[in-house]
Amino acid sequence: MKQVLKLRNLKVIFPTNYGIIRAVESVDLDIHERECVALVGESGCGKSVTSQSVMRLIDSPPAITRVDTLEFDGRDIKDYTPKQMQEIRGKEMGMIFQDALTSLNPVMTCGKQIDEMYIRHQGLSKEEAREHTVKALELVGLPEPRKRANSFPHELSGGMRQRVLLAMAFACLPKLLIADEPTTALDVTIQAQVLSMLRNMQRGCGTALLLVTHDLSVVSAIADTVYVMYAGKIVEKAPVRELFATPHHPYTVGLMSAVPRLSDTERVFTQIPGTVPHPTQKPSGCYFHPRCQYATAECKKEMPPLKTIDSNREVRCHHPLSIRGVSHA
Amino acid sequence: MFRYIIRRLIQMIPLLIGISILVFLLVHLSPGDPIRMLLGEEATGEDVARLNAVYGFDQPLPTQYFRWATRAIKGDLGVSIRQTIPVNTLIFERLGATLELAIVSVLIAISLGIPIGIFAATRRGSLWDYLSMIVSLIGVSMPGFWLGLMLLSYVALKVDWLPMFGRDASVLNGLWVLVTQFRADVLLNALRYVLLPATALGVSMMAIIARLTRSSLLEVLGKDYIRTAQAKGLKHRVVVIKHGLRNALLPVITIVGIQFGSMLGGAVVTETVFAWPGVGRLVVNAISQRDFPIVQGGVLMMAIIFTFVNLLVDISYALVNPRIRYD
Repeated sequence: MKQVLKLRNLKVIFPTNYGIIRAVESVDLDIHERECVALVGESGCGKSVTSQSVMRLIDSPPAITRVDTLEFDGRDIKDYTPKQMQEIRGKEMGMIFQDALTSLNPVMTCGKQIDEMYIRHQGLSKEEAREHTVKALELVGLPEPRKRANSFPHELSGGMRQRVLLAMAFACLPKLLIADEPTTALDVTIQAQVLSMLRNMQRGCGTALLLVTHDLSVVSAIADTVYVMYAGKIVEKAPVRELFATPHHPYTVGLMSAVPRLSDTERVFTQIPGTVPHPTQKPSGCYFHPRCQYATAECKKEMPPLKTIDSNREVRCHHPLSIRGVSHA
Repeated sequence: MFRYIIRRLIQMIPLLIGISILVFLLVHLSPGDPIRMLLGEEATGEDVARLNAVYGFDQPLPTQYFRWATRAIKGDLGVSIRQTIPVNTLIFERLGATLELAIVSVLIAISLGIPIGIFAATRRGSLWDYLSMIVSLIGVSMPGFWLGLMLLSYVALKVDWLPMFGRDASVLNGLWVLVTQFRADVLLNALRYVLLPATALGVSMMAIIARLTRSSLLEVLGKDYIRTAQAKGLKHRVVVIKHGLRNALLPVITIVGIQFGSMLGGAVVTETVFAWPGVGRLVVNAISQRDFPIVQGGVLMMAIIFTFVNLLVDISYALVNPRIRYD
């Protein structure tokens, strides 16, 4: 399969008055054609920064970004000028954000905001663009698309707004779509609709998808490959089925057991003890060791490398777990 | 929207009554007798009493107020004591000059202030940003009359083309001649006179607009929808102007409206420095001569204009921001 995105050794730091925040530390990411890759982790783990770095949307200053390789569709876009990036953004790489209300310009009609995509990237006239916009809105299942195109964002419901963003993102059939928490702000029934819409659009358009989320049910529903991030580092990478069947990293296990379940008689809430380390004061050794019940002296001293296991999985742990319990692979 | 405007107009009535009572009391309770001032030291008590009776000043204050107010409602603001000309005529003669000065000042302030604000905001933290903010800080801090005097002595004196004071034809008249007769000379002459006073009046407003545009735009540029616009691959200019500026202009409109309203009545100092024949100077002279009808009429006129400008500002909100609806 053709590789759409190849990211090697991405580092993003934010110098602040309270110290240096290492938001992203040496992240590698591979996305292939038509693949749906999920980037999972708690708030503040660096997943949004990673995804926005792919589009080079992180403002610098204040951020300082270093990357060894940033290959998109076979081209090295690491040193592209802002103008060159503008040509790629929207046209070949799209993005959907979490909160559709704040992500849409409040003083422009939804239609106009989609029209801009066709006008900018396909050189269409206003009237031609509007025809395309209405078709795109119809495709994402917005009722009365021609009328809705003249609505302002605040006049639509949350689900409708997310559909508008979808129509906008898919307008130019991008090769890669980055969806940053696309369903977090929606209620559950709308979540499912938007998610299946996203999946269908992605398959229909042959787009690769980078899904940023903290919601494991979303991951299990549509992802092919999963990257788990913790405190700016990738701690585990695996195909989705294998990850859910045999999570290797204690943090992954913690994330999965944190999903509330209704067992036979009682409601079970399991939580990972402690909190995410403050970004300016990360612990020594493995970042997860203060919260890890399996931590050893080695974990406190040394940051484990990302080791390849079973040829298609990677885990950053001195003592990865398996179905048999604690093993010392 | 229509109902909203009607409601606002009705709300203006008690406001204007209150203002007129206040001005009436201030004028009549302050020391200084207009008739004494008119007739001079040698006037006999008999003369003074007779003239007081002519103008109705011998009546109790409430009677005087109601007599004045009932005429004012009909549009008659009385006759000037000094000039024996109807106040209406005096005000309308000069309203054009005041409006012209205010409008030209606002145009200068907007056309420089907003670009400076954008310029600084898009170069945040750079030398250019600091420079333009220092310049506008100086602009805000400079009193208009001082700037007026400086402009007179350092610009008008050196540049022959610029007159020191006064006013010739109106700009409107100049535009009319330009459009109908294709002659620019009347317009140029009018602009020649209005340029310096409008600059003196407009600089502080320009500085306020520049600072406000900068801070407002900086706030807007951090919003999610700006990131969306960038992610769409729009050109930087389009992102800033089309998506940023329109959202950033709301507080700017408020300030422009308030400043414009106060300019209509408060350009007194600038009008005095440049001998600009506006309403402000008319009222100031009337105060020193205790010409009550002019003061009352002038202030009432300014209050009406001010509240109308405020109404226009509120209506323009709805045009800029579709989330604001009036009903």
